Amino acid sequence: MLSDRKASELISQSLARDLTKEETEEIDKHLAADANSRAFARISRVIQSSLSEVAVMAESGDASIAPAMPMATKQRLTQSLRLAAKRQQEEDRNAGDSSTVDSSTSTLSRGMILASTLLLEGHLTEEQMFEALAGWKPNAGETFGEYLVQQEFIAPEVLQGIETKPGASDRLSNAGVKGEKTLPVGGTLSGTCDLAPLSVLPDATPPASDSRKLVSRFTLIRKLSQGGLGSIWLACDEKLKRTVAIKEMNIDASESTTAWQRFHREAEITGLLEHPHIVPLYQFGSDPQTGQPFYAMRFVGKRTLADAIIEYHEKRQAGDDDALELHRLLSAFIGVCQAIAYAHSRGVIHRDLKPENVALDNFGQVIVLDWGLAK
Amino acid sequence: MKNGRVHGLLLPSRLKWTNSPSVSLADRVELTVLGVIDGICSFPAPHDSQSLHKLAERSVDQVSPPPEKALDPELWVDSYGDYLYRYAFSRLRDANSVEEVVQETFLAGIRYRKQFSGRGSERAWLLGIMKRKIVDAIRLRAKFDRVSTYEDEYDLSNQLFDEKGNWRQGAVPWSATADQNVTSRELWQVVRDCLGHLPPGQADVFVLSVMEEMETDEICREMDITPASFWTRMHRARLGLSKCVGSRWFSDGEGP
Repeated sequence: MLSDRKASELISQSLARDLTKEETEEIDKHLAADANSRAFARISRVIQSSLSEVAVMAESGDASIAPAMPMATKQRLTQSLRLAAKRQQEEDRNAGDSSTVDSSTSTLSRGMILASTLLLEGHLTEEQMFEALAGWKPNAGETFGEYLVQQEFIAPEVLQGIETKPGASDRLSNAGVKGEKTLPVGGTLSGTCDLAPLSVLPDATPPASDSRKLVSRFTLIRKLSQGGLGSIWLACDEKLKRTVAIKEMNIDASESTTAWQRFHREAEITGLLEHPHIVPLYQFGSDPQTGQPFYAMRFVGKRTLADAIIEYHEKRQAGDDDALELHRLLSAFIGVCQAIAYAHSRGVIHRDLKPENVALDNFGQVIVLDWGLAK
Repeated sequence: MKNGRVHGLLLPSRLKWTNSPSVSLADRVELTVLGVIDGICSFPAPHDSQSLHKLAERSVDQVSPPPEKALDPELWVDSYGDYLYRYAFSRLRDANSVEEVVQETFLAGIRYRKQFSGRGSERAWLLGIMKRKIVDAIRLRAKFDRVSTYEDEYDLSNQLFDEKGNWRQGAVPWSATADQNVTSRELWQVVRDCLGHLPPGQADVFVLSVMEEMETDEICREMDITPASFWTRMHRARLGLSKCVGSRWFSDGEGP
């Protein structure tokens, strides 16, 4: 004879599975004798019917089953989707592109190209290259190749061999060591960068009298921040009519060989790392007036992850926090992790990772900045 | 197919088929999952919910070729936000979880938009994604609530049954009949409220089984529980719901 407890278990199970013949017979007897069990079966059936009905209503879009999405949630979601769609478009584009490089062929960058080539081909050690770059003054009218020969870093034949190397002229015309020569482009300090053609940019022109210009293409608008190594400027790319950020080496820092090395290294690493969460480098060059090296990159605004974290905690303390905001912070963190994982896969360690070095642009996109200490 | 009956009492069918002789049952199932005949069949055929979920996943992950029809994610919130929100709310009951699931659904839609066949409606396609997201959310909720939950101890059996397993006198609030004037929507509000008072581990298993019509082994796999634990949770959920709903809605006197 079933107990009421066991009978209730079988009643429950009968809603989700077929009972055996023996179970059916037992429960039939029990239900016939016990009103409480019959009532339990009835209410269980009513509840199940209600849920089943609501499941149908939800599927068909019945508005009476639950509240509509709050307006604030809709606004957040719309913004989030807009951003996500934009990101996805970028990722799709990056995946489909064959990666053309937009870079300056200024004297300095041509020197960097030559340095990389010599390094790749074993004509220079990394230490020699940094020493040479630190000693070379791009605006002194001397090409990097000429400087290397003069300082006996390389023999003239080596330089001539590179200049006349088969295929070099096909890759880069009018960007050579001596102004008209060509160089194979590519090769990084770690030797992992594929050879790729460079687009040729016009040589530097003198700055306008009333507005400071860099390489004729960028007009500096205002200084955004200044660090020990360099300053960040908000600038206008006159050619493409877009706002960019320019990092220019400080004049004081330029006296230091280490600072030059760091600045070059930072530019090179930033250029090497092509990832949606790493700030893209548009151009590397030098100010024809001051000779200070600079590089142009995407302007991502001034808001950092540190700001977002502080804002969230302030809201949280005020009891006004939002789960989606926490989700966004965590998403930003994941973006940082993806960027760092990508950098590590390229053998680069950031070494100065902190919320202040993670920018969140106006659409919440996550960009890891400041690779100046990276190795 | 889930047994749609309690012992001796047939449940109303969840199916509302349009009798179109040109569409086979199997086709209807697949087409419904893919959203092709959404509006004709108001609910997927519940003959094999595991297959349905697989089909739903397929609609997300494997449908090819890439669509010619352009998706517009920015319009999704306006067009489908309320629909998906209500659906998710009926399953998850918690606004934060619902918002997250809907957002995850849209984001997955953007990510996998090339896999949208364009043959069905966007709404049905997004719903297919969201059903999977709901299960994921429930699984995560169970995982993170496991430490703090008291559901293992939350068992009404001791309140309802004596040491011999018999109903305790006066402990059964459902020895009554339903108020016939209460509408199904009012009943749903009571049931939903009572679901909210159950431990999440019980309520979620119950919802997955009854509303999402997932098979027992599938629920066990997703929730990482044994079949014995599944049946225990289901029974405790039914007892808890019966007690809660019965105390709020039923009047004295046994019904017909």
